[in-house]
Amino acid sequence: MEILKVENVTKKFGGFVAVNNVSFTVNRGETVAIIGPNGAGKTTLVNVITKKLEPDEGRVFFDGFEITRLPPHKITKLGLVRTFQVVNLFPTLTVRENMALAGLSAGATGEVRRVIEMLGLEEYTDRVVAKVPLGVQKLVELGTSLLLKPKMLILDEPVAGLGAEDRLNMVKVLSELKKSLNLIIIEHDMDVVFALVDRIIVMDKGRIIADGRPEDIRENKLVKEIYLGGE
Amino acid sequence: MSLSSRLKGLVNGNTVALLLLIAFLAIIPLTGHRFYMYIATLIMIMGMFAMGYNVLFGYVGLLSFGHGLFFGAGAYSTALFTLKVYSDPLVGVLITVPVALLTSIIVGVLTLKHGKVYFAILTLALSMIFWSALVKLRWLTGGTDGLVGIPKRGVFVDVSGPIVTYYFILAFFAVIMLGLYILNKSRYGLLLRALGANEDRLPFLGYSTFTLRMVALTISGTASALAGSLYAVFYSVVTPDVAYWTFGAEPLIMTLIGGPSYFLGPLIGALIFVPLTTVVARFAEYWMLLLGIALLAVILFFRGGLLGFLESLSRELKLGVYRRWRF
Amino acid sequence: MDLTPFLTQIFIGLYKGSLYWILALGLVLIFGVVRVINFAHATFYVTGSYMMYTFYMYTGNFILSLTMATLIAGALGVAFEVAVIRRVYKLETIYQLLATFAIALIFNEAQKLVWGKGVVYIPIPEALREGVSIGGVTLNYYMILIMVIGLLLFIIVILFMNNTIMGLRIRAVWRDPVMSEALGVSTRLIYTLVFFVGAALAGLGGALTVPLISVGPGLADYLIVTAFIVVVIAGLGSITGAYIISVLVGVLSSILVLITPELDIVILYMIAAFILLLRPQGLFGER
Repeated sequence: MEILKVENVTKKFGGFVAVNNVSFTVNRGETVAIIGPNGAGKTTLVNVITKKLEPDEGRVFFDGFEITRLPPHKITKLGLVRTFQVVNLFPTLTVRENMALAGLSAGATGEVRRVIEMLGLEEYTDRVVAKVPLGVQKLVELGTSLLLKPKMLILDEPVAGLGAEDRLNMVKVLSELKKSLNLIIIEHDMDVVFALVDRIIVMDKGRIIADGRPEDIRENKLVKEIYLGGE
Repeated sequence: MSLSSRLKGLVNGNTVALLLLIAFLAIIPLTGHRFYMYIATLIMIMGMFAMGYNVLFGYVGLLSFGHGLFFGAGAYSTALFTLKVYSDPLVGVLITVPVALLTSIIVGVLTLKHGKVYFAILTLALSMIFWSALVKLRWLTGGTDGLVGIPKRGVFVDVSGPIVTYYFILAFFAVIMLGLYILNKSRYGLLLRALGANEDRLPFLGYSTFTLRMVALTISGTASALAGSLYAVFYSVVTPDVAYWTFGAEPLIMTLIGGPSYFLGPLIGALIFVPLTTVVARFAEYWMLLLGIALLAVILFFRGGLLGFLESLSRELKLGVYRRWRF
Repeated sequence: MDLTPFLTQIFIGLYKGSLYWILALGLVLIFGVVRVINFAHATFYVTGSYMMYTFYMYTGNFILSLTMATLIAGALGVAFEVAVIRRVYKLETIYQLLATFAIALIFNEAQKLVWGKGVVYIPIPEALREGVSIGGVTLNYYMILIMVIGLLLFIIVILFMNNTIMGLRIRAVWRDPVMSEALGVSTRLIYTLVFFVGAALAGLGGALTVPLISVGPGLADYLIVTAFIVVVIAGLGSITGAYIISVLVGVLSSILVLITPELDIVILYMIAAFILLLRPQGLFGER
């Protein structure tokens, strides 16, 4: 059963085609990674799906609804939640306040404390987000996303910029999460990708060039050439 | 949270300062000094105006150059209602609330769908349109002469004595200040601060930024309109000047003087601004020029206002007390 | 039905619209390049008016006064950019708006202090008082001159922007200041230059106004609102749009004076609000 369906989506910036006629579906329960070199169009694709950007062409369906024309807050309410590549929180508010905003939105204020505990953020609750370490900020962002009670969570580079320890911690948290909800992960760290996902979509120059199980992708010649070969 | 811990949360620098100020304002008539009462009344009215203004400016980060429109809408609706429909000051002030709601929604629909730059431009334009309508619709508004003889004696209340007028205004002042304080501490206060901190993120938490901005504008507009309404009752006269852009800039100036990031900032600004301008205006005809220069200096050099200056001073001296005054 | 009153109003509207355009052009240039909405822009215009008046009173020479008024307004623009605007480029938009707003307040009051609260006025140059008669209405050469200057400015700006290296640089900054800085276009110089041009244009418009409309306190307030309406309806940043809408606003407001003298401005603004509801990006703006 499909939960997300992307149909012939195209996004141009002036003459530059960032996402070129991309189509794919994600089934319930699947954990998917979107990988590809810098500038492949991964983040733009996510931006178009979540309506951070308007698509030029194509349609997007989520959980049985067409969301192509919906504003982002309605898409979020439907249960399609995302995080951002660069931490995107309310820097002048405290960790608890950031969490509370998400809790209020989804009627889950009672769960704020539980999520803070689950992510091990107790010691930071009353500190202003701008002044906590990056690893903590990334967890806060994940926490706010969870409080929104998502059906699907799209994570844009969840471990980028993190040290080895924070990285392991994040992978541990995510592998717990994937049991209960659909994850789409955009990530450069192949160890993280192979540790977590059931399926990999490879993008290059705005197109999908490969789509399959991790072990197949690892063996795919084209992918090796364009992407993994560079490692 | 238990009731007692909730109550404990309400006792802090801001509430204590606010209650002390209200108590202080309450004893001023006991001095019997008419000039002090006059200044204190203006501080209450302009303080309300500025506090209302800052819901939009300090919390949400929207710069309105046209808040004279809301003040004027309040003043004129009270004047017109008491003069032409029902002669009672209390009803006249209360009628402002639905008028303000309607005005805010109209202004909001026209101005909030665009960026912050558009908001500044369009609020200025709308207030000037309103001003020219007040000047031109002589049959209704009395043109530049305005409306005179706004009654202080009515069916429900009689505020014709200066002391009664004073307490009438103080009562509204106290209610609005406490209302704004509760708002500040409530979930809506949190949402409005979030809107100011990072509005682009809110849609991805499931909030419509347009709706939130509209809520902020409505609260801000209603407080401003109530201030205008009390102004009309106080002077018994309204002229189109209250809708002119220079008057609409006054709450902005007060807010900047006091400090836009602090709950009581605008009120502190009014405490400084009102006595100063009342006194200066008596012997310097061109005090607005001085005001403009002061405004520019604040924008270039003291963007935190007085409270921001005190906060950084206390940080220098390692006192660390003023942070709590932020909203 | 006698149509001459309408024709008269249309002529008045055409020259008024041309003056609005000269004001709006500077506003659009400054916004397009510097990304600052200049609330003090109309005060440059009125500065031009007062300078024109003062120089004319002393010298009686129209051309000299016009030149001086234009240059002084331009110089004020440069002083404003260097002393104030440069300090706020890196701040939030809100503080840029506030700085120009404070300047507007200061100029307004300073002008009252220097030139008083009354209005000032100078005669139309003798050679231009005659005119041509069109449909029974006389249109004097001075009004025609203003319309021609407006049209010439439009043509010059469009040609300049599209056909010169400086124009290319300005368009580059217009599109993407960070990128053009990286490519070695000095934005600092261009910013100052644009402020000079914008303010000088405003000064020119203001100077040309004095023989036709009495200038006094309050004119700047009316003008800045009109200019804002023009650029918002045209679409912020559209030069062609600003020209067309300026002239339309001029003509429409003049005709409305004839039809509903009580509500002319109010009706005009309501039309503007309606357009804005339907097309938030303006009639000529891109999303």
